[in-house]
Amino acid sequence: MYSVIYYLRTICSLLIFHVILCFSKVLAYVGFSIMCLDTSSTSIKLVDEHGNRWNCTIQFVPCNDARFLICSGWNKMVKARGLKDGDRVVIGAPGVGSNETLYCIVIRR
Amino acid sequence: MLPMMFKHDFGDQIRQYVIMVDRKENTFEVLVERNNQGIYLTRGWGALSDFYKLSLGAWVTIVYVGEGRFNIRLMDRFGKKLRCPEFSPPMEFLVDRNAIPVTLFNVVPGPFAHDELNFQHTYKKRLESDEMNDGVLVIFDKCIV
Repeated sequence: MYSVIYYLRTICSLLIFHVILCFSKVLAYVGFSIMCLDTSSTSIKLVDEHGNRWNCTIQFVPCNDARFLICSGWNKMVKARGLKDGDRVVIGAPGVGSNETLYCIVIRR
Repeated sequence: MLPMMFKHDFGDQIRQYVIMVDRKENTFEVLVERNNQGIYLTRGWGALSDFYKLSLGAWVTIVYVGEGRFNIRLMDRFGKKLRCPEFSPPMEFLVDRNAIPVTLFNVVPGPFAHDELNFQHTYKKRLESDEMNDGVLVIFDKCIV
């Protein structure tokens, strides 16, 4: 009898959790940015493959997809390095912790 | 690598970082490494070839003007002067001052290369025209509802 009640309680709590999740839009993010960046960060350093650093501002935009906007220094880097539409960037971060430094490699088209 | 003669005459004036300045006042900060043979310009030097789009056989003339500053002039392999990109304000390249390598006296320093440990997590992106025009790089992840 007790096991049936316990089972029903578990099912109910899971259902309630699911309903809350659906209605309150509490999202679980996965991926690079959430593993490597801190949502409260306002500045970040981007180090390119020549060892140059670009001091950027960073902004977290909470929406359906977790989104970080890297501004300021990025614009300077685009101009300085003559990046063009279609070029690719690989951004890397160490395995542990939230970082204030990201590393990048530019692959030209 | 700077010549031994230069090291003998001006080596004591060169500190850990030097500045390269072109005709349009664009500046490049470069890390200086030394061993028992000479002075090497390492981290940040590669930015020159990228910025001026130097190809094989290009010439770089560097003139020491004091206080850790060098004036640079660039020519292609045929001796034709290369155009210096002009920016207002002039472009300023700074090197990352973290994880400066220790150079042993008998080891030739290598060019800058990223540490593999800094690429344990990677994010690859093809740049769109918006990111060029707006000056904003967007990093986004998928989410699970």
